[in-house]
Amino acid sequence: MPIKTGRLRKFLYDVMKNKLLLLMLVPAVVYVVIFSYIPMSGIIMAFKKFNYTDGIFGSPWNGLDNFRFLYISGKLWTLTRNTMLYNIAFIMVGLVLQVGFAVIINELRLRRFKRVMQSFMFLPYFISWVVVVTVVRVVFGYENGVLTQLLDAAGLARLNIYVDPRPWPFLLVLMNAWKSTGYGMIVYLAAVSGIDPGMYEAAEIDGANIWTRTFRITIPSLLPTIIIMVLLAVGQIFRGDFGMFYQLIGNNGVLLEVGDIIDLYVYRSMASSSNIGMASATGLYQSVLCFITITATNWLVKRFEPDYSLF
Amino acid sequence: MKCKKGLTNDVLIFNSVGFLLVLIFGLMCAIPFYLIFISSFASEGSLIRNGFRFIPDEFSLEGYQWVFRNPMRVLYAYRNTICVTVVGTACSIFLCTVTGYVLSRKDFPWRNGFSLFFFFTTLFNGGLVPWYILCTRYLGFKNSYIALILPLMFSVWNMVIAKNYMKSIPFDIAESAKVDGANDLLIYFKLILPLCKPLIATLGLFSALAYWNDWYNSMLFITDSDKQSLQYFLHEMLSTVQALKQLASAGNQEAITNAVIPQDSMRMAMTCVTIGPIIFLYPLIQKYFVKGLTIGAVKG
Amino acid sequence: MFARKIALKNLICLGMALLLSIGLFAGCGNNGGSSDPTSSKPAASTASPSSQSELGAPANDPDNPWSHIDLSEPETINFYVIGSLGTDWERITGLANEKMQEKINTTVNFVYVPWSDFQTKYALFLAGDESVDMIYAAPWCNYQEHLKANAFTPLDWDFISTYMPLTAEGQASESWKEVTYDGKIYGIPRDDALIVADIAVTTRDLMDKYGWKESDINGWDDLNQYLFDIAAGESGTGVYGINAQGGWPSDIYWFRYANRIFDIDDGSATWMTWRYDTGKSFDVNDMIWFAETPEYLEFALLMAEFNKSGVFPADVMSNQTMIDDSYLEGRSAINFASVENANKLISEMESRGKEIVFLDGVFTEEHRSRRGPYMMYAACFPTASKKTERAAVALDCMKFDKEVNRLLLGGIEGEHYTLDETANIRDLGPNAAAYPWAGWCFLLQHDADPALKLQPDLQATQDRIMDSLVSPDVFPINGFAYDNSKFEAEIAVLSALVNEYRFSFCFGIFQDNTEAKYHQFISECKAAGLDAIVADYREQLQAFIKD
Repeated sequence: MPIKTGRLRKFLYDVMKNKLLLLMLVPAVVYVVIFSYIPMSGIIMAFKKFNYTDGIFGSPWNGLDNFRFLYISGKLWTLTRNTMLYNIAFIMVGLVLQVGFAVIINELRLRRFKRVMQSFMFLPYFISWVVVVTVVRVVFGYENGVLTQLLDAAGLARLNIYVDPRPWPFLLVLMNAWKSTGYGMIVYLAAVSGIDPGMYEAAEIDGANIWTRTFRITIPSLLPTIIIMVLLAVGQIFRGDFGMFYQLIGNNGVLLEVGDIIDLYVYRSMASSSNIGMASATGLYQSVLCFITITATNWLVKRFEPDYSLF
Repeated sequence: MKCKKGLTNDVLIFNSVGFLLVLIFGLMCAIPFYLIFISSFASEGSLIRNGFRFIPDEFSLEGYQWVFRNPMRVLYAYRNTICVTVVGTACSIFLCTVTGYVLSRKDFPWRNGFSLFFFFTTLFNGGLVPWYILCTRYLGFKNSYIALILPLMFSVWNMVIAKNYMKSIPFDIAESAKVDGANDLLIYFKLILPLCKPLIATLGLFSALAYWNDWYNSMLFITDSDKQSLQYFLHEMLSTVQALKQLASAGNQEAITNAVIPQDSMRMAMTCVTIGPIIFLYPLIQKYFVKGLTIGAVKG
Repeated sequence: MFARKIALKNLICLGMALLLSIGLFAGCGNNGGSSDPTSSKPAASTASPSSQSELGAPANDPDNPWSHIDLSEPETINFYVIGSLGTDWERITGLANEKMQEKINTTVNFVYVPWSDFQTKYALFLAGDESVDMIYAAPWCNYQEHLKANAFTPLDWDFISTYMPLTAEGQASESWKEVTYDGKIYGIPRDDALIVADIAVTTRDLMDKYGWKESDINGWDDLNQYLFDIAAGESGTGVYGINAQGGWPSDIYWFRYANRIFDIDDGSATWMTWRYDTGKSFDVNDMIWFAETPEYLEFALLMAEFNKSGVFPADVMSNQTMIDDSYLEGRSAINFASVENANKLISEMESRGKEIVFLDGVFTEEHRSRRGPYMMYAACFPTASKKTERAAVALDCMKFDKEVNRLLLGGIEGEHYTLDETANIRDLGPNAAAYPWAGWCFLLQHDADPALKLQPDLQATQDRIMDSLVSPDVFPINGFAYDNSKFEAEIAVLSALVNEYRFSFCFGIFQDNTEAKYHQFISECKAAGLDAIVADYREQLQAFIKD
């Protein structure tokens, strides 16, 4: 078969030509096979009734039983939708803030101010959500909070955010932005610092003002990075930030109306049991949804700009 | 402030608006931290009686005393974390950049396939139990530093960032070097890496943070209190309260009886103790995020 | 010296073994040389392991009850424990190990599992770690589930009487039923039944400020009125009637204690309850799911009132300060504490210049406690372990060998605790903080352990509580384990629902909307299959009681 031999020959030729590159890949591939692909076989636990003597591979199959608790509650759609919508909001707001601040900081001329502010913006990343709850109480506390004092001074009615679900979607987006902007900004700062200053000089000479420079040079140069970061985030779009939601919303029935996500629900249902199969089932559910989403999104990006896609 | 380019109006407006925005956001981030910092020096009693204030009523070092009550353990924890962070970050930078480089090469025929191969692992996960069994039974991770370094060494996220960054380096550099007879490895080390200072700074920071903040691997694998990481040591104290609260609500009253419950000021002290060292790393790498650092070198 | 001692022991063991085997061949079916008429072997009670071993209880060697076992090989056992260790923990366990080395040639390696980790790591220990020889188990650690997933080695009475002779004799006979499942014993319960009985406490200065005296409070209504007075008077000062942390279970007090409602399950998530009325015996049909009782709605409405009037702080659900700390600092008017804890509080309050007041009267004549399960803590042997026999011997020694047991429970007499042998009372020693009594070895406790010395009025309260315990004859459910295999998914959904609404009702978060939310809650639960679960539960419970 001349075609097949031809392909095989071409394949071998490619391997020989790129052998050094392939070799450079070997450590990462071995690492990933050992630490990610081998344990991935544990996914079958989602379809099994696990027991300790039979282990992962010997336990009996039980079909889709482990998934039942997800759909018989009737809430699955709401939870999935909430998880997805919150993540989309987090991604979008985060993107605007991170790129915006990266660009601004890059343009600002006050060096010491820049450095100090950058460090400040980085601090919330280190504050664990448990401690953030305390900060939220100081700011929004009903009796002595900063917000209450402001409202009192302005003569407005006090707001008790713990019994009122309405502000929470905004609060959650705000807090997520507060905590992760400093960290997420770094990638864009690195990318921006890689832009050729010659382009700016040329543009200035041509009479472009700063807004044009920003929107015609900086942002387009950042576009590959932006797309990659968004794609990476989209790959986790059905996984909620459990730490954040659990600390801020936890078991508050009023707030759960607007802030219940898949991860919180699973935590509540497994609070008094340790069913490994059910935990696996949830993970698989979220993984499949994420996989479908990222494949579709990546394909879309490939259609327009093949170079910017993730895979 | 040098005014070699004239301060045109648009630049002025941009700078002023930008200044304000950055100032507001920066203060929004710094002021809560100040609150945490100052509360770590407040007495527990005053925190409970009067809540968290910007100027505490009563100062005390109780929080820090509690954290440092076993000073040897804290020192060991610092030592462990610093060593693991340094070694781990170095390995991680190397591994992620090499892989990212290979996948960024336009002439590498299987780059998309391998990208998917790596990215797939962030989507599907077998769960904690299989991973734990693999690590303890087959890889022998029990109670060793390897257990703290290896799990975080290769991050697909970092690799994708590296790949993306390296794509922006013009390909002709590599091609002309190849014409001159250099092999890929040499190209990578001598040419590409020096152009990636912002990238290395970024990856270094991300890796260092990941190692510094890691308590999970300590929890899973380290039973010797001398080998624990700093974050785990602190996390244990913090999470104990949560666990006890849950147990109390499940009716297990005994959980509270003899347990010594950590206090609010201690929680604040812990936050400061963890942030302390690493926040000094950030200014060090900031100097790499300067306009035109790399391209200038390329042009040259 | 030591070597000779071991050689001598070996000789004795050999001799015993010979004698026993002769006895075995000579008389199958009779009890051999075991005649100890005072032993409380559970042969009498019907539901416990009935087969008496042919080997019988080992020969009566008071100095070495394990002499019939081959202990010539030194072994190390890994025992995973949980609790609060004191600073002297390593020293005391070291001393205990020395003794155990002498007595049974075994070293126990105590592996401490911090409270913060056990939820993640418990399953991992059982699944991945081969070197766990013995581990604590409890209902809140999903003992039942793990048992059914073959995590623990099933034992039979043969095994126990051979390798744990002291336990076979000394353990309370009714405790075995609780760890038996399908005819096999899956763990060794502790020898102490849990009695949960709290009292309410407040401070003298608050009572004086609002004109109350202890004698004014004679029931829950009075207590509630007191709280409303505090809320009204202290509004805005930061002092609240109940300044609790976000997960504080107010339903234990205002729903269960106030209405004499008992839980049927301990730790498993089904929340079946029964209302105890003096004179009435337990009937399965009187068992109701907690939220379907009329009392629950009343409770929810009362909590909503509390919330609206400011008895709870407005942001109570995100409060991280424990009620105990708030109470000590005067930020919470009342607190609930067990009698032992209340005793500790007296001196703590004095050091802050406050006087503690015990509100005994809240718990009226009709209030009852009951003996809970022995099974609250048990020691289990994971199936993956290969040293189960030796681990069992070690456990036997730790539980019933007087020296080792006291050492592990309390530390060193005179240093960590003081003991009044005749009255069987203990008190805190000069260095008590370094090793709290039973801080971590809950499963080594006994009913017969010395009780903490209490102040006279507290002692009176304690006596009253003990006198009014509900007999297990009236409420014979200890040890019942509901088999949820038919309804796993439904129970998971119910669990999610209950956790969603429970604390919101406990703190009255829904305020005026409470009743509507209550009905919504009930209908969501019914939609998830509540009725089928309750019916199944009743069936299983009926079968259990009949046994």
